[in-house]
Amino acid sequence: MSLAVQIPPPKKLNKENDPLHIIKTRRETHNRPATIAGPMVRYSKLAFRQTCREYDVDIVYTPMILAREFVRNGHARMADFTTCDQDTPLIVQVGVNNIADLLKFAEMVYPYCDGIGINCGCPIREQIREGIGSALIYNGELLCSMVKAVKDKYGDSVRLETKIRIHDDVEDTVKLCNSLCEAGVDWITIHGRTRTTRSSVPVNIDAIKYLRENIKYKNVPLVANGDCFTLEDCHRIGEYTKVDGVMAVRGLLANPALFDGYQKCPWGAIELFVHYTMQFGGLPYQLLQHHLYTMLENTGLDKPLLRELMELKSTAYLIDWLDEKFDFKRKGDPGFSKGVEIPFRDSQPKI
Amino acid sequence: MMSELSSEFSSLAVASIKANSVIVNDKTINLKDEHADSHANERRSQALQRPVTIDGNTGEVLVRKTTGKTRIRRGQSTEEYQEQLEQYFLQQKGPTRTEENALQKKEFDQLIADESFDYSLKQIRQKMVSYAQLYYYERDYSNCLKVSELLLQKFEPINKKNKLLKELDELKHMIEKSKARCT
Repeated sequence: MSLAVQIPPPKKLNKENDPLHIIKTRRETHNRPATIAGPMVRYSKLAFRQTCREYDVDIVYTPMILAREFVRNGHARMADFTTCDQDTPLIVQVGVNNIADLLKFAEMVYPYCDGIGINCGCPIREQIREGIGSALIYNGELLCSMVKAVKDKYGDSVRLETKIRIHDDVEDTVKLCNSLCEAGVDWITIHGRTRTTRSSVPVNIDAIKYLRENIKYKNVPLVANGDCFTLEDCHRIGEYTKVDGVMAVRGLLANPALFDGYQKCPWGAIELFVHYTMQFGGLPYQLLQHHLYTMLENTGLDKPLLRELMELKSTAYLIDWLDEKFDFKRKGDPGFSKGVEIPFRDSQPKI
Repeated sequence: MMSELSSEFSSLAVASIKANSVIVNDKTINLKDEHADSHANERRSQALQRPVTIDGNTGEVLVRKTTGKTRIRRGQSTEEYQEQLEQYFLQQKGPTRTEENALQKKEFDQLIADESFDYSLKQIRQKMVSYAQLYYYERDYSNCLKVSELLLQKFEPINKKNKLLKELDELKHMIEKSKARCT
């Protein structure tokens, strides 16, 4: 394909932003697995990513972006991917079902991120029907050919990850992982549930351990995903499975500071999240509201106040409510983002 | 399969291998998802599909629905892709970048003066309202008032069938509160 447009080169990778280097060295340098904020459909937007980065998160993912839409539609690009200079190390996660779209997608995002992750774990029916998400773990040939196409074209200049779920028979997962390693994947994230296991069922951590022990290619790092809600969980999962990194997703949604050792969402994280949301703009109100609901619920805020929050109609009313109920600080105010407990105004009930 | 498994585990003191699990160092490792069978109905509704690539160059793919019907996902020609590249890299300069402290009144003034802006697009309205919300959040009520009043003028004429009711209500709320707090 001869292009008139000069495509920018891949973003330069160094020790600070190369996700593979980070994942491989965190045990040595930090005495812990690499800490990773995984992709959440709709939720891993820029403001939330930057909030997580304040609390000892090494690598952050975008939500899944559909390659097919991204390479064909400017509005989809505007809605799906916004970034900033501090948004690094960043993995852009892609939902894709063919090589052509993946190569085009890679070309359009690699100048602005530190790695690309293929989503092979999404259990949403509509995506599976398109052969996207967890459908790919049952179509290893296509998945490996996609990985190989990217790595053959870009080599080490573009980092490529696959995030998979386990099969009903974990031996199938071992085979798939070996094939992915042969295709050149840089690291593999394993969600220890099958595509039909509900999130209420505990993650199969034994399967992840088994995979680490039985995948032939020991030099390819593995990241464990599932049921990481505290820093202790992170250490326990890392210790038990011997993986190189631990990814939290739902846990971070409720408590973005979990990797920093906070047992519940500190008040400062809420101030930071609202600050970033306002600074970057463009976050739909329902998303802002739901983020705050999950974080405030995690802080232990009582139900009547949570109900009040959900009745607020828009951002301006939300700001008024935060100011009315709490000592809600802005950047520049003494103590901004440092609070842990909920700073109720005097008239409010204590929990 | 079993012999392969046994050889794989030879160095790990395998005690026994059952159909769905393996015992390593006296510990049973579950090789099958015990909950999978309980979701048989759900599984049927999520029958796996393998897309068939019709044209590897354009990305034209045939997908089969669970009903058995097939649908073709149209490919993208080289020319169409080229157009997207031009739009993305030359006009938009890559993805939207919003740095901290980047939303400035000066930029808002330029944008609001741009007659080509299509305020019927929700994304455009959302971006513009972000300026007013930021001022409101930062307690900069005089700028919030100015910005909100300008946006209200732009939004009101396109409010067909009250579809922008919430957005207008928010702007009016910010105007009212800002006026009260400015004085």
